[in-house]
Amino acid sequence: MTNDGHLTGEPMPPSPAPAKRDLDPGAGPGDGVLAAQAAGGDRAAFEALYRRHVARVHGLCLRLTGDQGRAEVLTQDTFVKAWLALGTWSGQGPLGAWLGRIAVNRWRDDWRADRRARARLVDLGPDGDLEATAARHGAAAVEGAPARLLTTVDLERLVGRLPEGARTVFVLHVIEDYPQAEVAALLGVSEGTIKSQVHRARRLLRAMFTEPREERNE
Amino acid sequence: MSDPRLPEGARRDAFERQVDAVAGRLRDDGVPPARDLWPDLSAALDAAGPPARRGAGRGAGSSGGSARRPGWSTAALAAGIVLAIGIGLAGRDGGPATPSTGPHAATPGAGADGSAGREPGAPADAAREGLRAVALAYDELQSALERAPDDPDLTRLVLVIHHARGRLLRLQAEDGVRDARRTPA
Repeated sequence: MTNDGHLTGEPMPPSPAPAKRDLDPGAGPGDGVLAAQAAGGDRAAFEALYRRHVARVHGLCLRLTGDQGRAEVLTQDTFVKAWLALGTWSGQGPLGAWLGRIAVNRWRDDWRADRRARARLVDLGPDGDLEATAARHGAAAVEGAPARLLTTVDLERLVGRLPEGARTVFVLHVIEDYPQAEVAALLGVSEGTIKSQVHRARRLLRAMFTEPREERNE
Repeated sequence: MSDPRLPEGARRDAFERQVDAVAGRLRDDGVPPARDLWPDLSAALDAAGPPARRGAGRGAGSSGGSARRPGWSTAALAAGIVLAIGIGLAGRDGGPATPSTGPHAATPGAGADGSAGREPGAPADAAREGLRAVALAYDELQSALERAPDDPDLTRLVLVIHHARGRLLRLQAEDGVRDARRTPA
């Protein structure tokens, strides 16, 4: 099987980072039990799985697309595919990671068809206001750590402001924990491009987080 | 918490560690959708049919080369469905749609650009016609899914139809409100 076949194939290998629910026995029937019931056609069991994992899947879709409407469509598409393929889930890895893989593959299908999006991925050029912000505050950000703690709300907002290429790579590599080589194969670009975009994303995040509040575009 | 007394490298690393730790929490916590997607999803599952049995066929996105091939053309089915939906939506925008007896019975050129068979007025009729075409497309897709329940292309078509239906229903509802406002008490 080619590397690409592996990426589009299914069932997918587990992510190294299971969702909290996958590990929480006190949260009702486990994913394995519900998945087995749902694979037999039990819609209530599938709804329970949906409610358990929809935030994770939708969050991933929202970060990848940067658009609420497209994220909803991608989320629904992911769960329809999961419903049809639940019988093939091996149960060896976390279900949340398996759903995430389906979402990423589905997003990748659309992304590959969009030439401009592909061009933006390898574009490392200056990004107007954001780069100007980095230029103004980047040096200070490197020289001194931010005086306050970064929260999930902060990071979610800042990731949404990243240029598309940097955001895509940051989401897949840093948030979803895909290895850089796998992200490169997934997107059909060199590993060097991935490294550059990760570096760029981190630099911009640091600069945006350090910029004075009145300069933030909020 | 960062400490300004730390050397530069350590301070920079502290921020990187924060980013990595918070990124992991973002992944696990997720972002709930702004609205409940389950009703729409449930309708899409109705159209998609039952889950595939273990080992019965391909999984989501699988590229297995020996998978059985359906006895119909996904491209032809998609073209018929999109044409049917286009007739409904284009008819709604510009006037009554050309009557359709099914996705494959729709006449090319009669609907997608709305250039033929249009008369002003009766947008509710056009929306109704579009919904009828969507219902027929649903039926056609359902029978295709019974033969190939795990085909990813069909899954996409389920969502395409579902969203088109939702849009037509919204347009129909908006027309109803406008009509009610125009009608004297």
